[in-house]
Amino acid sequence: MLQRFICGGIYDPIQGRRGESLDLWARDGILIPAPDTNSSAGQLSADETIDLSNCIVMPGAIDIHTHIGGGKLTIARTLLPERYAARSSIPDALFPLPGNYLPNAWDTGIAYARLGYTACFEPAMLFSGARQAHLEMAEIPIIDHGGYVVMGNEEYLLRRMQEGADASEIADYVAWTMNASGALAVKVVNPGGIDAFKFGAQRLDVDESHPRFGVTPRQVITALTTALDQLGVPHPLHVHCGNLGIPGNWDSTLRTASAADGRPIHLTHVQFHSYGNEGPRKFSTQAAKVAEFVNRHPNVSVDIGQVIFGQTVTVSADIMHQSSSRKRAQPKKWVCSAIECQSGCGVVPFRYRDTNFVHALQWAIGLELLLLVEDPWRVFLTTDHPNGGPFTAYPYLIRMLMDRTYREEQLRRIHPDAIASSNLRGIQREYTLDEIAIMTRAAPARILGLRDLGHLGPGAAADLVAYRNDLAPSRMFAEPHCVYRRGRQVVDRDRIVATPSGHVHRVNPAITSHPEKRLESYFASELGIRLSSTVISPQELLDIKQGHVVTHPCEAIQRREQP
Amino acid sequence: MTPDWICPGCGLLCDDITPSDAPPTDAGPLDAATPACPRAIAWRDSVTFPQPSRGSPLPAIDLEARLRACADLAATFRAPCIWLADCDVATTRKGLDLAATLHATVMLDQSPESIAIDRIVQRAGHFTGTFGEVRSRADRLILVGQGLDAVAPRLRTRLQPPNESDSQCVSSATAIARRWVRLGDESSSTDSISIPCSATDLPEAFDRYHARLTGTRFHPRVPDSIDLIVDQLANACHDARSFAWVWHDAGLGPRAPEVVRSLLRVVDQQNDRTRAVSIRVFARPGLSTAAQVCGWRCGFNPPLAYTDQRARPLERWRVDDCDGVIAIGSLGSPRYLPTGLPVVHFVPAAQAHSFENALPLEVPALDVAGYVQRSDQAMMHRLVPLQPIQEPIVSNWLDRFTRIVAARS
Repeated sequence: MLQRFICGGIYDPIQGRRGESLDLWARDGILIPAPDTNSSAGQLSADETIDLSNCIVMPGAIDIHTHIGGGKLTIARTLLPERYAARSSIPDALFPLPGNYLPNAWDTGIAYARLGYTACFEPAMLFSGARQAHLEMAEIPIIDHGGYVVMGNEEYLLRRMQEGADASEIADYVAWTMNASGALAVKVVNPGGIDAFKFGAQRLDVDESHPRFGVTPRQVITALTTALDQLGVPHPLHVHCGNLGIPGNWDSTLRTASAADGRPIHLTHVQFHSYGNEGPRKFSTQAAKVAEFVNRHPNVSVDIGQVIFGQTVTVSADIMHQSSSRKRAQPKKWVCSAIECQSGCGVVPFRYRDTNFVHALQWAIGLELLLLVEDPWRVFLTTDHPNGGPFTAYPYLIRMLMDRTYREEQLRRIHPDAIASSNLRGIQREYTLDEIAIMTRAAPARILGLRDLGHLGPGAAADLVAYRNDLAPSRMFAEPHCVYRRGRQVVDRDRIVATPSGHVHRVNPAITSHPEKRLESYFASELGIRLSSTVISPQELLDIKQGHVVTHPCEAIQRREQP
Repeated sequence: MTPDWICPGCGLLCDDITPSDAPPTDAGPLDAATPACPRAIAWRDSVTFPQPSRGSPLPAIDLEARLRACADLAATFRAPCIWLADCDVATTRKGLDLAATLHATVMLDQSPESIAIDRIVQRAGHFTGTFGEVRSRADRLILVGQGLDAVAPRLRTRLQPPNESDSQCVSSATAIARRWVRLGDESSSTDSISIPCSATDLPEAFDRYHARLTGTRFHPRVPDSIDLIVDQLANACHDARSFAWVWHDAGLGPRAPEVVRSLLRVVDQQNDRTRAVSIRVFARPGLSTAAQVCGWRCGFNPPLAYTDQRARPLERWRVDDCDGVIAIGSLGSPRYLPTGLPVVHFVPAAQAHSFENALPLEVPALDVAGYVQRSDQAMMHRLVPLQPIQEPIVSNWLDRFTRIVAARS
């Protein structure tokens, strides 16, 4: 089917468009070059013409870090059946159901589509839970998805590093793990720290040795960033730093980033890792220092993990942190699970209050980071859903980034000491529409290596979001006029009109020397399971996703190409 | 015979049972598969040998007529209940689709006591872990209550240290020997330490032990027998660094929810200075599998009720409210529901003769592939079929039934 989209103003940073009126053409859901009107081909008449001339049009938005699939979510849902009775306390935020900070798979896709998101990625897919994560995400309608496999705490890896495994062996192991789990990227959570916790450690700093294997987090970071660089995996190592939430952790955050030795590295939910310990309450903001570091190091990218006031639940593989947080659980219940000598899973309900100094300052720190990191290609808007809050708060956050007056209004509502401790008031910056488009579309696609998403050039999926241009830019993101997925309309003025299946995105890095023999022996003896029971074959992934699998190439690419 | 076969006989999902290569015998196509485990054999027999007895001729079933009769029966249900037992992911999905079509309640094959334990676990904090963690790390495995050996006969094999001649756990923090502790009124020759204890004494015994761990006084008076149990438990645990408390619902006796509540407090306290996990073993993989699918699909776990919005749990639903049952994956009559209710069964083909209103259902690990969850929720296993489907009978009766009832509703 040939479609013609008459667009009022296109914001497509990858294609270098900043508000131009243009027609877009798509055939069978893929954008094609506009026909030359002087040629016979230009006399083509579209099978469908969609008039978006009164709209601002962007590619579908992409969320690079949101917990949307995996056993931890079922644990959280089971733990909190009463959440359906909760009321939302966030103004301007959209909730498909009141207070539902943990929607089911179906509602997740619907809510994201209503916000104009067309791709979202699960950042914490445990290797042993990858199959379950893929099965669950296959039931999320409309949006594309994928998973980042969690590494860096497997006892197999730590032991091999202790025994002197070389970079080549580690790269093969990383490649094998990614292939066997159908992953798009690799995430490390509190490198070495989760496993250290299982041996009784309560903390593990960047240059501190693991109590059993003697490896430091710095060595783990170096090993994994080297491996990913060698393999040509598009996305950098996605790092949940150690010492999450601990006052004074900003320093270890920067030391963690330096462990990449100039190789690309992505620090996730960096708001939780940007704390000082100054002042009478021994808790302060160091967002400026972290932002300055990011600004000076072009190999570093960050996503924020913005806090949203209200009830939520924290889900994390970082059981070292979650175990200590359990005493502050609200309501007072939680789950901490040690998983297959690979990782962990901690679920702790939590309520962020604007009247609480620490929570209020956390909220301000997230915004400071968003506003102080200068390059919109290297900073990403996330709430680390649901850890900081539900993703449905994105329009509210975007409005604060674009409208300083509104931001100041919101700032005045929080704890007064937090206002005084924060630097937010002094920040004048307001994001432009182009910068929002970069941060929420172009940059996520670029950093994940998604060549067919995040832009509206030829070859891209026809994922378009149209916003009414009679609304203030800061408000329009709450109410997309319509959303198209691969040329098919899915949202029509807040109404869902179609629910096609999304695609899963993965990579398939090359393996030089297959590690199965050693792994088979390890899995059978240590874990008591056959290696083949854990591997997801390419055919199996195709079956789970009903054929909707996109494999992206692994090659050395420019992480930022000039538009 | 496939070497990648995984046994669905219990919640352990053993993948190291290799079916025999011996040729089939007249007793049945799977007689050659002789996994050396009573649960595996029981599963095999239940899905392959027709009841009521082997060998006797069975009447032919007109399945098309059965389908119409079952649909007619289901049409009379005003408050239907979909009862899921032994379901894999695909079957659970189909059951939920059917429930949405009929606005039915969904219930898992779970006893009221087990549901009560769920409520306790939902209200308390708890540390847990997976089998691989226990196998590799625990230096004290405490088997609590009774019946674990029957529920999961190969539990010790799955949780055994890597090298049987070396009882030191590879991943243990200290170089101490692993010990198996039995806390209940059963014992085994392979137990290192056996602490006789009636299930009814467990809540007070755990509370007393918790007090000892925290160094606080325990005020309620308890019999000396409880103190004796606690002394033995403390002696058994004093030098360990990594504990695994293993139990199953039915083995904890009539005070099971109280036992679980008290045990979880002990495990929580142990994690202040050591590491401890509570491992709940399920008798079959279907329960945790269906609960997982319900969790991600509905946002909550059964028992639940469907509304048009798909996501409104009805926690006050009572079993007495339903007037008809569609039992999927059952190998017998639905349990924990009022007797005398009309039932439409979806059962393994070999059992279709057993019930008047029964239609065949595909059996993962027998004639189709499927996904099930291990008891410790570590992973979703992909079951492969033991043999190809012998005849084109089983593949779509549930689908067809769903379409018919959808058209009528």
